[in-house]
Amino acid sequence: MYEFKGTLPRYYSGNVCYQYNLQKPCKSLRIRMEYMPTDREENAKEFTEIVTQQLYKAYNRMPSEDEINTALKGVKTEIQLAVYLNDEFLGNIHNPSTVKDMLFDESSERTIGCIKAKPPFFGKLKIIVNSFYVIDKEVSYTVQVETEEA
Amino acid sequence: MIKRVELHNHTNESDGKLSIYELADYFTENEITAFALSDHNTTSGIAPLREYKKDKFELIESCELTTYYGHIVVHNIKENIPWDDINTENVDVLFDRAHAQNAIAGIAHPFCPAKPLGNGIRFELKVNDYKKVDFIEVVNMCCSYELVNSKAFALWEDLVIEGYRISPTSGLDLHVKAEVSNIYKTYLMLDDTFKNKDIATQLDFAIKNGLVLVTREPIIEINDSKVSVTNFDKYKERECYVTVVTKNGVKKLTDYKFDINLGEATVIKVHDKNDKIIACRAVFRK
Repeated sequence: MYEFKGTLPRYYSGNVCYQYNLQKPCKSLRIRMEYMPTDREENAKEFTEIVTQQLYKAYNRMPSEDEINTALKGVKTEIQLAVYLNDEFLGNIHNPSTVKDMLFDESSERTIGCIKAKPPFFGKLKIIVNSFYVIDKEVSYTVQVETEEA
Repeated sequence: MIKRVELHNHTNESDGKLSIYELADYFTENEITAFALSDHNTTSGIAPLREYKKDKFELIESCELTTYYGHIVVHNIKENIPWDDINTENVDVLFDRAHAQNAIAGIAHPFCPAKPLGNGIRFELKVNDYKKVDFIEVVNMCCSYELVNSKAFALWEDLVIEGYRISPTSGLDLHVKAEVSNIYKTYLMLDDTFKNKDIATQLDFAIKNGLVLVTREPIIEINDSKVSVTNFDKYKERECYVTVVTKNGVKKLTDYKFDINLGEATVIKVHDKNDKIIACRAVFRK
């Protein structure tokens, strides 16, 4: 099993890519990404000024406190996960959960967001951690890759 | 033939609440029998949905390329399109990737709020060649008309008048069950020779040739150079009016039947009494 750890800085929009070869055919492949956002509400508050300006521009008037607070609820850290094997799409988990878990094997049900890929799995594995925005001062994540040889 | 299509829908294959099967059932229960499955960055639901209640609906195989700087909806997609090498100064490459697999691609909700209000939902990518853009989502039902959709209408109109062959579309951007009747809808305005063609062919032809109507209700028909708005008396009573835009300017009409010059890029719009656009179509420059 491989475990990769990293941190993403505040405001980061971009990706981190792990790419290596599965040198032996595997009958199962599990990829799990988890990130640990800190206090979202507290961190979102620090965006009050930017959000107020954005709302002011949109409405052409000063937004109310309620409007600002409602908008701040939508301000969030968002990180998603995509996986390719030999440049072929295996899956992408794009949802609000902070844990993304993909399992590819013969017998399990298809992971939602992923195709039903059939083993053996080998060759170039590409794992993309897609960071859409980070509101924490920094956010830590781990990516685990678990394989079972065929 | 006039066919309604719903072109922007999500399921739990990405961040929607419905399963792919629930989405199909919801639409067919509401008599919407041609719709796209356009989940964020995944085509995973397409193959299983293809096998579900085959004779009940026509599936438009799609994906919303959801980048950090804007969203592109791709229809008639054959395989997933990677975008992790995104370059804000040149989004054309994503349109090229779509076209390389005979898909059609357009910009979704271009004027949604920027970060941090929306994580990448505003379109901030530079299009170097608008010839590559097949459509613009002028109405996104999750967005405000005044703040977002009116600007998308204006962008689309400007590009059409400049001579670009870009169709308008509307989208529910459905993530949960939502109102599907009293909304802007997209219709493919095809002739009867397309009746027996598959939905991919119909959509491709309509989008590429401007045979698309976005409307809350009025139907704008174009036969050769003759334009008419069906049941216009009803809209006239509501103080609606028509505008016709060409490079020579805007004409406001209160008549519902008029001629246009087919050689000239033209945008035809129906407005309500508050000037809001309630229907639009384009005629592309030949």
